[in-house]
Amino acid sequence: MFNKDLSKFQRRSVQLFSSSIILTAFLTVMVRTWFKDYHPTGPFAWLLAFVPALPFVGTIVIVFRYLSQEKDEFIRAQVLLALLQGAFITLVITVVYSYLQNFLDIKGPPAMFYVDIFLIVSMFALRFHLRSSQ
Amino acid sequence: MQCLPATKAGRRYIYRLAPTMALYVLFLFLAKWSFHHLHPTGLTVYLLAILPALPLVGSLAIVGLYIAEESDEFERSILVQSMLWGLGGALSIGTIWGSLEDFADAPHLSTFYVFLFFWIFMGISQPFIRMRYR
Repeated sequence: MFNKDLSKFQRRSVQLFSSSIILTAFLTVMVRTWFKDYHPTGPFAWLLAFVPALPFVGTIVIVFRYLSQEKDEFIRAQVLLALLQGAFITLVITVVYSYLQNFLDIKGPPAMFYVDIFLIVSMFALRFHLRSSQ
Repeated sequence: MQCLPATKAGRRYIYRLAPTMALYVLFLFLAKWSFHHLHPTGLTVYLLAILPALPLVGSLAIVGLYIAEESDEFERSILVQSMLWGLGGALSIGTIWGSLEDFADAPHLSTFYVFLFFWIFMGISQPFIRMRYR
């Protein structure tokens, strides 16, 4: 499926989804810079650390809104399958890595790493399913 | 038996999951015991470290099989939605805690908690999703 084939609703959802991901990345960089430059402490530091996660929660809400309103059953099923595959791969990597970390004292990756894995795997899975169905 | 799920796929899910969890306890014990008493080296270390993760990966595959086999569309939809909320919640907590670890000197949390939070959020979200359809 190419951009020209997208319905108005699908295009709007893709735009919202992309915006929330870009906002997550932007806020992560901003918060990192803030912590580096101003060294906040106490409850404010904890509140500030929450900020980059908020657009990611928004992303999940956008995905649900899309899934509940998408009229094309086939596309909806493909998106759902891709998201579940993304979730599966992310959780497998998390579990395997956690045991390597616990038994072999390997340093853990940054937490955002798992969000990236989920998004990348889901994106590739969706591309793959849509291409193979053409 | 009243405690077993009503559908065939649901019962199969329980029959598959129970031995997998028993295997997890066994593998975890085996890995811990081996590290304490046998002090393995080389490739064995990696294999032993990954050993307890295998049944957990299997449990995810069992959930996937249940989704594929469940003929009750409503039950399947509830599970899929709760899985997505579970992952969204787990990744959000992971992102928040990762920022707190990086910036606010929060104590280190094992990566395993992402997996644990996935199941917790999945469990919590199910009654709320069901409530929407009442």
